[in-house]
Amino acid sequence: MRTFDWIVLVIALLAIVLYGVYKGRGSKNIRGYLLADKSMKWYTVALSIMATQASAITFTSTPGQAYVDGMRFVQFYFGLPLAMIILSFTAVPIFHKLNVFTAYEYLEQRFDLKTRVLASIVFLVQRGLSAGITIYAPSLVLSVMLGVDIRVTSLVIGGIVIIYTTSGGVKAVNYTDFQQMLVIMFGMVAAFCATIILLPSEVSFGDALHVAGGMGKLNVVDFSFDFDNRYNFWSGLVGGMFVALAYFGCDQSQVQRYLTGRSVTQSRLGLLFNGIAKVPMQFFILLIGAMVFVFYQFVAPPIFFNPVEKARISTSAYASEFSSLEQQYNQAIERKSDVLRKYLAVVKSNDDQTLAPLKIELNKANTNAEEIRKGAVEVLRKNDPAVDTNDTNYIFLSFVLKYLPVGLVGLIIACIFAASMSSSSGELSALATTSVVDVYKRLWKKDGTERHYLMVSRIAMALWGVYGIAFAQYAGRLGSLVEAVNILGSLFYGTLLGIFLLAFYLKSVDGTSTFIAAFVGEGVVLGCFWFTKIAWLWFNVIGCGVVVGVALILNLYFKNSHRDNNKKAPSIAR
Amino acid sequence: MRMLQSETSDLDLVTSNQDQATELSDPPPFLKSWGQIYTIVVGELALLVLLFYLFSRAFR
Repeated sequence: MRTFDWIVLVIALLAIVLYGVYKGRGSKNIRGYLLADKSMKWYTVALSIMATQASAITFTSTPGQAYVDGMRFVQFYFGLPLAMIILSFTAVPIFHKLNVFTAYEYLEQRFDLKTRVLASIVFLVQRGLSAGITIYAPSLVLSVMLGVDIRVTSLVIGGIVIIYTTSGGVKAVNYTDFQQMLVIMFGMVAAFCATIILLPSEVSFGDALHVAGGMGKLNVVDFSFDFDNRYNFWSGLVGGMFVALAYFGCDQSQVQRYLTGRSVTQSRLGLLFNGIAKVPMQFFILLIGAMVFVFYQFVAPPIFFNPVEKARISTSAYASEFSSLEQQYNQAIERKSDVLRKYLAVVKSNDDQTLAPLKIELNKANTNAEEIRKGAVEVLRKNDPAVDTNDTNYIFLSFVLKYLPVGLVGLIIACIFAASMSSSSGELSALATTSVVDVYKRLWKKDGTERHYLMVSRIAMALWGVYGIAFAQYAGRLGSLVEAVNILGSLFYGTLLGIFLLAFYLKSVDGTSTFIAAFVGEGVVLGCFWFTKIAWLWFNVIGCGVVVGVALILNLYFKNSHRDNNKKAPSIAR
Repeated sequence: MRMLQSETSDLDLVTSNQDQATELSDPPPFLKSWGQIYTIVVGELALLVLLFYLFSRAFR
């Protein structure tokens, strides 16, 4: 990064902190601190929801995902608009009417204390683990790409978040989220335009789409049904809807965003705006990745995108072998771009007969380059069997740092910091709220003053932030467990959603049936995870279905046995 | 005096419940009903899926 990029980055980050601290000032009680006095307008709620959902990895990894796997990932979001509608007419009015601080508070009113505590603990465990990852993952990528120690990047991200969340509470979180989302949107549009401009002069945007499509990267919709296929229309619509229902309906980090709406209408509009904007936004980010892919069809990409691993191999015993593969790779890319130019000329002339053999030739050239790249990855593995061979997270940032103009690089890095901070701050405020409202205030100290709870909330915010930074320092040592932690989050959502569906829709089901069913549902999901190959999106459907089904059966059983006992009771009395 | 206070608080409660009920059934700021807004969200999703499908086909 050049000096001007650092200036842009520092100004953007400073502006975010100062704005957050300024807007969040003046909270006198926990309603102000944890719910922003329910004063937010719908557009602040909407952008805060979107900013919390969009982590830094969304912007570093999603374009890389399109580069490697095409744009089919967008299907994962097809169920989200439906979930927004369902939550708008169910969860939003209920939470507003009951005036709750957390989603779990409602469970005590509907069921009992043990169900509330169970759901709170599930949330604290799952979200607590991912709070560490939310700081760790972008810190790692940024430290590798900027050549800065990971302790510095994680301290910058975590430190800034702690400053404005602790001082301004949820109001600061929402206002900074709003601002961060604007920076992110502007940065992404700028990155897209720059990528198109950087394409060779003879390659138009339409040509670029033909290249990406011809090489299988514009596979946006796939209607075929397959349980093991992670991303198709059906898994996205059904599985994605359940994930979104669980995330936006039962996860305090999102529920807290729309609980700050000044009325039911404002909260509903916030959610529905997310339902309208999310799918096109993800499509757009994936399209950036597809365009970066096209760019690298004409300009040789690095054979491996993680610069640290490349530097390590260049000083190892395998340096010459790797370097030779790099040369072969560059030649293969040159051959491929020659074929591509011919391919584009034929596409423009609409000569279908010449197009078919050229497509075959193009695929051969592509396969050849990919084989050489696989060989290079094998060499990396020979040098260090524990090396992380997945370089998807580094593709987009590598492109940004090498090819985008000065100033824009600083802006994109600011986007990634902003995205990381917006998700972290949402998580910290939700973790602090649940810790204070559902655990400390409910189970430990029920008769504290407003001032006392406000102070405890600030301390909880800061402690969760410190925990997140500390986790980020050691997460690297967990190796593949980091991925396991991400999957772990998806294992709990089905159960949580099942509990909430019972609470919202099946009024006859009691707390004990729900409590037992939650354990059964979690057991089934874990069984599916360990013993089957079912794609993880379906775990949410399975977990939710089992919890609802078992609770209904248990409820029937408990009611019958209660009725029997009532019948027996008089005879004993006699 | 105590009765007056109690009546006042009962009245507040009724008013507050009425406010809440009114707020829950508030129409959206645009269009006539929430149903119409939900239809727009579903319609946009359907349109996007159709456009994505045509997009995938056009550049396959």
